[in-house]
Amino acid sequence: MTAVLEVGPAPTVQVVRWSRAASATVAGFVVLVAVAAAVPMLFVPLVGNRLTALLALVVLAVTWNALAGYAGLVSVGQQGFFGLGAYAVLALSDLGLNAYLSVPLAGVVCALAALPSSLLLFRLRAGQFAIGTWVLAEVFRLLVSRVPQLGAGTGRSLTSTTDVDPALRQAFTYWTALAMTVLVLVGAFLLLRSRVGIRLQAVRDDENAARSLGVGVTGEKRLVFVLGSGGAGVAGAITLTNSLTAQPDNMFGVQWAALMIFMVVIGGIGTFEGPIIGAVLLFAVQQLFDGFGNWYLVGLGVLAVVATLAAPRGVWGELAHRRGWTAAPLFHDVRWPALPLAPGAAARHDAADTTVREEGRR
Amino acid sequence: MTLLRIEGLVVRHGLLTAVREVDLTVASGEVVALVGANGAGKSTLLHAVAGSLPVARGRVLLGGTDVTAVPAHQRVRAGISLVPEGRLLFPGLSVLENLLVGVPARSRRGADEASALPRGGWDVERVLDAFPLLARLRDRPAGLLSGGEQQATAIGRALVADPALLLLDEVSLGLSPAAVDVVYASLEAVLAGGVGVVLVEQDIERALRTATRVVCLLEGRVTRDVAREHADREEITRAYFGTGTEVAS
Repeated sequence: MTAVLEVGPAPTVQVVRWSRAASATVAGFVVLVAVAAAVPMLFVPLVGNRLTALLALVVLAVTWNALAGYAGLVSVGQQGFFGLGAYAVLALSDLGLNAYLSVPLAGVVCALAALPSSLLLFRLRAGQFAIGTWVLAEVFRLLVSRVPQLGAGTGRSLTSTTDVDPALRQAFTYWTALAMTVLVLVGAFLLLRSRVGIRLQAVRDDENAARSLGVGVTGEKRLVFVLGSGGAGVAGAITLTNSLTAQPDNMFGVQWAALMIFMVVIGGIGTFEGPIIGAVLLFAVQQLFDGFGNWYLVGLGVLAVVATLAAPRGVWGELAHRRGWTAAPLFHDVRWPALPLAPGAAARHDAADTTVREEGRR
Repeated sequence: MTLLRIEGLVVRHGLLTAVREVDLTVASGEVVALVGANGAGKSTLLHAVAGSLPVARGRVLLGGTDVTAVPAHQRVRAGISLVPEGRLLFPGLSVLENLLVGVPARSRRGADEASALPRGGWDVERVLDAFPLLARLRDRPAGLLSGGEQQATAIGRALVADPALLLLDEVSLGLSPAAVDVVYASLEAVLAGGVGVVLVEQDIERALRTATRVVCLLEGRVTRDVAREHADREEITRAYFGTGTEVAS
């Protein structure tokens, strides 16, 4: 144990953030996005319509995971921002803005709405916070239901895109959704890879300990809540441009919160990859039970039970835990010549082969 | 140079006054051991200095700057780091990630240099160099570490902020004697860097071996404040238990 006490004359250890697997992931992602961009030119519009719904689910899952999985902010009211995003597209289109350009702006509107909301919500803790966010979503629903220009309680349609050819409209909708999904994925990745990501996890584990290490707890939580709510708004905006109709009870419905939790938990909460897998699994169940009515809910229930029993950490969570898999390079490791591993610890990646130092840490 | 000056500090837990009119100074490179029985106010005093407990009255000055109203997370930037009792590691994070939480932002580095307080020049790389155990355990979740490993991680985590003043609260609590030896020996590397240290310790022998000054607390008041070379074990023990002593302040 005395080796522990040695003080090196000069630092020889480097913190590394990259690996060969990470390079492969990035290359695979670029190829996947390129192939996905060609979908409207290769398939009938219905395929684009379905995939747009999947992309909205991915955005919802990734942003809710950033809140709950990384920052410990278990919100069951993100449907409030989802609905607000959808209605923001309606309102902005009424003002003469292009519906597709309104999608990112709807995210900005929701992020701006999240800022004052956080002042109230962050006074609450744990279960109280969860209930508080749900109440906020209901407040948003009630407020929107009282605006006749937005269709009040019965809802209304997005009419600004009706004069566009349906196939072209679906292609634009899909490309917008794809662009926003890439933006959200890259943004979430960069945020969680930055020092904010690790500080959020520290806040999740122990707020007081994080504060005593110099973490501005409220500021970090507010940042991720504002960005995550903007992401939920983008998902709502994508959903509206895809379905073309908005109705308050649907857009602000608590079923969206249930789906967010389902996707993140099934995929692997607190992992970057898990929510994406969860969204794909949910989408698969939706397609499998399409046309079978309430059997869809039975399918969801069966998947939830099987996944909980077979993979309590979620699909990706189990792979990461058992096999040390990591696709998105959010890890930290050290590079040190002849660095011994702890007994039983498995190398998670090939960090020793890289010389990339942690950038932006200082 | 006077690193920390505490003037007339009063800290309350509700109706209970835990720290009463305490005056204390700590110089750079000095190791002050706070000793006293349970409930003497040692940990409360440390938390008040770190900013994690509110001060009812009095002042805390770091390098001559009044930090009494500065929130806890900004005091770390100012140069005060706390290793809390019970370690309070982040169990979901690996050892390396626990260390990285304490890394100051780029702007903080600039603020640190401007404050001109003497520091040890610690960062993650240097901590990993100085504590090879932590480098070996880097991938292990903190929740799976032994007590001694957790304490080494907690000390390393506080060091990466490159503090001018390190506050150590009961670092030997719950550890085996061998693990305590390792933790204290590791502190020698810290002390060699010129960092000021305030150490809460219930083991008087350990405190007398490590500290340059021993301060006894009894019911929230300082009853003895002596340099190690003048410290008499019997006298310290009496002050510890409050037998045959008079309150000095």
